[in-house]
Amino acid sequence: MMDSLAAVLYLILFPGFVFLLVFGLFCEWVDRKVYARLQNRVGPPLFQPFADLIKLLGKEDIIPKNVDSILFQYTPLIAFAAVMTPIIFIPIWSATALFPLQGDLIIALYLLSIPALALFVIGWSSVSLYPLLGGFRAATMLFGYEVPFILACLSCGIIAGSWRISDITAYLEMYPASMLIVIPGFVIALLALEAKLERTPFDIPQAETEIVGGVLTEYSGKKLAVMRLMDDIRMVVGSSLIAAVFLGGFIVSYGSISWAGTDLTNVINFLLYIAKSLMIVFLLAVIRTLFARIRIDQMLDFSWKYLAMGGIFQLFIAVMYIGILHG
Amino acid sequence: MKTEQVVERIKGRLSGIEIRIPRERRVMVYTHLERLIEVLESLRDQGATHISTITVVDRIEENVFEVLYHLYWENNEITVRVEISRENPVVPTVTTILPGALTYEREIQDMFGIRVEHIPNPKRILLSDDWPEGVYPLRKDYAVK
Amino acid sequence: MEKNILIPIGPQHPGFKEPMRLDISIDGEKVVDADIILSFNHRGIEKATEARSYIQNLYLIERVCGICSHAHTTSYCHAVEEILGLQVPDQARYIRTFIGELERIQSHLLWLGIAGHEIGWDTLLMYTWRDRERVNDMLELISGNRVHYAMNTIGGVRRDIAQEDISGLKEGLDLLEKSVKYYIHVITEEETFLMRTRGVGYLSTDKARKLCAVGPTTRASNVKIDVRADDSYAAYLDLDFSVVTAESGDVWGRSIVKTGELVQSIRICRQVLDVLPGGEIRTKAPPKVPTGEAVSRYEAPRGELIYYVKSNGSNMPERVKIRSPTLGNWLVMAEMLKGVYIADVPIVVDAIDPCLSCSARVTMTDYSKGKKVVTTLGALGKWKKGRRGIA
Repeated sequence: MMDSLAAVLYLILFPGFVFLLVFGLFCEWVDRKVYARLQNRVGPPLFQPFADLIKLLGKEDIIPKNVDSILFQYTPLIAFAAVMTPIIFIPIWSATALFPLQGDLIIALYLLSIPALALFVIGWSSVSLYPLLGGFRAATMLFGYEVPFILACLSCGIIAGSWRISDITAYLEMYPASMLIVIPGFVIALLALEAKLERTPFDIPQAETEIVGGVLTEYSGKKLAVMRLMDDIRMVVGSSLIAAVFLGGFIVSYGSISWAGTDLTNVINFLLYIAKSLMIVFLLAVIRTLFARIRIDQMLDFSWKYLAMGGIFQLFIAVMYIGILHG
Repeated sequence: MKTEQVVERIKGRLSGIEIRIPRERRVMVYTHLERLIEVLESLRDQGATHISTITVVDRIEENVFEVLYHLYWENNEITVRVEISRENPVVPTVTTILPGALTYEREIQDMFGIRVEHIPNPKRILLSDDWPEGVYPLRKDYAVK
Repeated sequence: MEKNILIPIGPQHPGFKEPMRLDISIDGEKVVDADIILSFNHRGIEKATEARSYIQNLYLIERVCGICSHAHTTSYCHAVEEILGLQVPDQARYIRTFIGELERIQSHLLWLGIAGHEIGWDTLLMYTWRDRERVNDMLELISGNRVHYAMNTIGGVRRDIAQEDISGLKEGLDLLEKSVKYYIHVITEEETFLMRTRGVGYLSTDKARKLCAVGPTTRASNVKIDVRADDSYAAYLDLDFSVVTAESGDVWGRSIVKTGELVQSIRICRQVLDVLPGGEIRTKAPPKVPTGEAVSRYEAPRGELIYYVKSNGSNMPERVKIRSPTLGNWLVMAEMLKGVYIADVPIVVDAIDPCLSCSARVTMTDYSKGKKVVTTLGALGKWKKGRRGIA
């Protein structure tokens, strides 16, 4: 009984919904602030993303006449739920996640690709030109970034000998030097995540000057707020996943740190987790500042020619490493 | 090229054309509707391939439209001018000689109701879709209240 | 595919800064044909000039365009001064040149920013527009205004450049030169910018000549036409500058030409500040203009601007014809759009730097049949329904 109550609390408060909400909005602020500062602008105040969310929630919610009402209304919720779930597999305050499963890395990767499919469904159900084009573009891009992203993440799994995110983190903590071998994978995963999050230079599905609002053109009010929040949480969860899989070494799980008689290991680990995630958010913002948006054909070209090739290369290195170490 | 040379070259190819030089680098060529194509063709062949615009002046007292083709040739602005009757304002299209004239021909159709014969694309360009037919705003008898 | 799909873009679209409609026929992802409709905000300025005095017209013509306001008034003043036979003082000629070049700098910087925005690179937009502020500040220092400078009057200019401002202006030019050099570096090196602009919206030299393109668009296709050099006006004959051309004929070439012109403009501005002759800034012009006519050409930031003014002896002109550079580039725009990807449409359209307020000069004052036609919201809705949808 107590166990299930604790589980519910975990899911709702920490590290579940409330934590993700707060941290997601904070990351959005960091992203916007960094983007603005790099562009020579002042940038938004700390509570701006929160204010935006509240305001959007209070706005009129319009459902256009011709849309497929059920798909149009509920797909955002599915996408939202899908991006929140992986957090229970990601270690936050210790090397072990909340509910680790065997093979949870695969589950997390697939859950993170659901938003792209949701965007396609939304584009289809909106029955409007721009969402439709945006949806097609989102689905097309999925074929570009998904393979490199999975290849990069799986390399870490091969090195650690487990598909469990917690195991990968623990392994990297035990052998921090192995983080050096996955540096190419880290770069690939970062770029693929940028594409997954549909940000410049891969913001093709929501290219404002080409297809207006992209997939979300017909959305307003609460549903738009949910989709915006989904984007933020996707950024946080994606960053956390990369942090856990590639930067797992920066965690303290063997031994403990205490100060004035209090065990601070979990606090330190939590702060390390926040720092790692924010670093990735920062890198994502820098990438967004530096480049112009490329065309969809150029994006696919780039993904398959460089990212996927790099992913295979990384996988090769990982296999060689395992072979030398254990063979 | 000096303006005098330009005038000489025009005169060398075309006889009986009235030419005035209001100032350096400006040449006015007065011609008739029947000779318009011939004059423009001759100018084009010598290198005046750039048409800047077509101006129409509504000289309502004399009951004529004066159509001015502003060409550009070797640092000189050459204006070829023809007069057409206000009752039946028709000019031949010059897009066969100067393809760039299309926009301006569409403009004078809109603004003055001058019919351009054999124009490749007669659609409206500047006036809005709901502008009434047969009302030409730049004519002098169109009064703005 | 049996039939090409027709996609209407506009009249309201984030890719266009002003109302225009582009009907593009697409085959797959590529544009096959394009038709441009710009009859959305005709303002009737040409007609309005016929009912105003020459001085009043100055203020009206200044408002033909917000970006190249000085180009329009200078061109108009040149035409009227030619009819009047007025000799403009040297100081005024130089000041006109100076303001004209500053205007070109701010216009090209504005374009560069918008071009960045069209290809999703907002960082470029933020940087260039910040520098554009500097130019606007300089213009404010001289004229007191940032957009409509109201510097021209018939017979000269209205304000002098104060001696104590010159050092500040020179400092501003130095800073601008530094950032312009940086932009040139950026647009020639940045890979994603090259990916989006190279080979996009190609216009051959032959087509550019045939379809009578003007300004940077035609210079990027290696046609050396520049009114400042060919048909020199104001003080350009006394100044040293070169006409920038490029050979590639694509959007990238147009960016190279425009940034190259920024360097030249800064050079011209420096020379003007060095050789300002001083003295009178205007000759008095009579209110009535004798019968006559004049054609005046001007190299506006977007290309050749041409004014034809005909006077009838009264204090109002008989006819003022304005041909703005954007109109001269319509035909080539349709030509450049053929064969590009849909994603490239905004940047190709933007590459000619369209300025619709110049091209379509009218407000919908629908005075047909003597009464004003009021469009109701319902009618607007019906109209919209008729247009919407996927073909």
